[in-house]
Amino acid sequence: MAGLTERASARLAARLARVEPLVRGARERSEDPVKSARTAVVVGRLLAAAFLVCFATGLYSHVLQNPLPWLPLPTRPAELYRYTQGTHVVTGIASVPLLLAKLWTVYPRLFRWPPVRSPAQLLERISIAVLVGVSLVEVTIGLLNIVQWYPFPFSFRSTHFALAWVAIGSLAIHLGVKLPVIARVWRRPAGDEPDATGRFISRRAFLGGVGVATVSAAALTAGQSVEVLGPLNLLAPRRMGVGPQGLPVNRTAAQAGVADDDVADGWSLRLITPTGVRAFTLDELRRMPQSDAVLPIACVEGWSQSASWRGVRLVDLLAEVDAAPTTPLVISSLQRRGAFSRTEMPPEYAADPLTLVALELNGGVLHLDHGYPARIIAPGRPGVMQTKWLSSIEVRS
Amino acid sequence: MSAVVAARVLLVAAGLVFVGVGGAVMLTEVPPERYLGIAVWVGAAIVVHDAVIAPVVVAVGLGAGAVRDRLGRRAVAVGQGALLVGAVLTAIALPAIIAQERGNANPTVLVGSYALVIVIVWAVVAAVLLAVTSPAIGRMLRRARRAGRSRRPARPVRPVPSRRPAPSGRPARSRQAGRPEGTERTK
Repeated sequence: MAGLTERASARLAARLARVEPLVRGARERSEDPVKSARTAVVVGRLLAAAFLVCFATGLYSHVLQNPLPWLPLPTRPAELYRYTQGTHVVTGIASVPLLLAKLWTVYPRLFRWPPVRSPAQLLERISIAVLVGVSLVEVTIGLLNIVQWYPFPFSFRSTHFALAWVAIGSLAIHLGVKLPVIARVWRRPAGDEPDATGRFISRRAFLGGVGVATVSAAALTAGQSVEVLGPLNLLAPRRMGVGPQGLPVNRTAAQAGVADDDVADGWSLRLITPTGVRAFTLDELRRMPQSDAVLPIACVEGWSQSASWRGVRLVDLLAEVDAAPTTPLVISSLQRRGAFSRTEMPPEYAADPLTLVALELNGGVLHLDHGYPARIIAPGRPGVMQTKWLSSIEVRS
Repeated sequence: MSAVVAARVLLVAAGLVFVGVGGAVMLTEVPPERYLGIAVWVGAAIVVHDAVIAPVVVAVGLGAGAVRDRLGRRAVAVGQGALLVGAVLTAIALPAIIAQERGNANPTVLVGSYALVIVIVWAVVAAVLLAVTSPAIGRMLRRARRAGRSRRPARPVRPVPSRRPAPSGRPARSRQAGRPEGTERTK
């Protein structure tokens, strides 16, 4: 038995002896004086800021889609979600060059020899692997989701959300482990000049290149949610003004499984209250006092655009059936496909005078892809919660 | 306990709590049959970066280092910057290009000409690379012509001949090492 383990460890040592020069060679080739602690800290700071912005805005988006009963949500400013989710996607795109640059500065550390010196170091290397792998996956599936391509074998929303916690958690652990190094850089010691020169490139040139890449990535995609950058929008999936009635749609009627028969003349909107059900035909809704609201469609995929809506205020409609919104409304759609055919609307949105059962968009009757005959439009909510092809609104006691 | 130690303990503790929350979300919101796929994607992301992307970037850097003395530091830096911007924009556009090729029933998504934009981006990158390498190529051609006209087949080879006092060896480093504080080159 002892001989066996001895032989095994001798064989392992022989293997390692063969691997060691390869690892050392890889390290020498990938090393560069520019890849210093200071460069890693400079890029890491920007990347950490980008990740924290993505995490905060992503958390907000998640709470809007899964409201907590005890947490009141803001309905104003009406464009709030437009800003937070646009920021989420633009920052996520900008973090692609930042993440690659950060990994470039620390890549030689992959080839440390010996690979592990102590159990603590093993734990640290595992936490780095988790941070790197999860960060790359978060950015990649985010990019895939905004182009609506799902080649991964798991659901986007729950995975992106769960991995976001893991990414931010392992980032905090990483910062805790590296804090002495970061503190040393912040105190600006001698030995690493502000513009250290590497074998190939100076730090300033490197950071300048990363800066140009980051700014151009953001600038060429942000136009799908930031109007002034519209002319530069060459790489974003959506373009402002492209769609029926000059507005993009997240899911067409055909995609949602809404047939012409569903929205034919016999259509009515049912208001269900604890005391009974009342159906409103389209003519009845049109005869009620109409209100105008300028509200954005702001998609979870990051694109957004403002539009003019006209229809019946939800509070007025609820008053017709003597109901007041004190609990979440249950709003149902005619759509047969999709996760959002039935949504809940917290009372703060239902009570807001800007919230409409919209019948018109940008001066014309709603296009079928925009939810004809009637849809919900409320301030500050994600587009997937702005239920199209309404079938019923239920008020619970 | 010093402030740094306290901050480190706090960061690691908070990090463990966040990772724990992520694990809890994973357990409650993601069906267990998806775990393997997620683990494979995380592992594959590390392998693709560490074994494919990063070595290519290192190779490009070594190539840039090899031509640095002939082209000059600034030309190499500009060329590398152009390659970096081209690569990043390609990485961002690639999902859109593939998704567009696959088709989408929604005519309001993927409305750009992503492949064309990326072709133009690489044309610009190529133009930049040509611009930064052309002085060196010109020098090389002139030298070849002169060598041809002089009809001296066994002309002695001079190391890095050039008219300008082009940077050679590792001048910038030594220049910087002896530089007093606050006199950094402006770029």
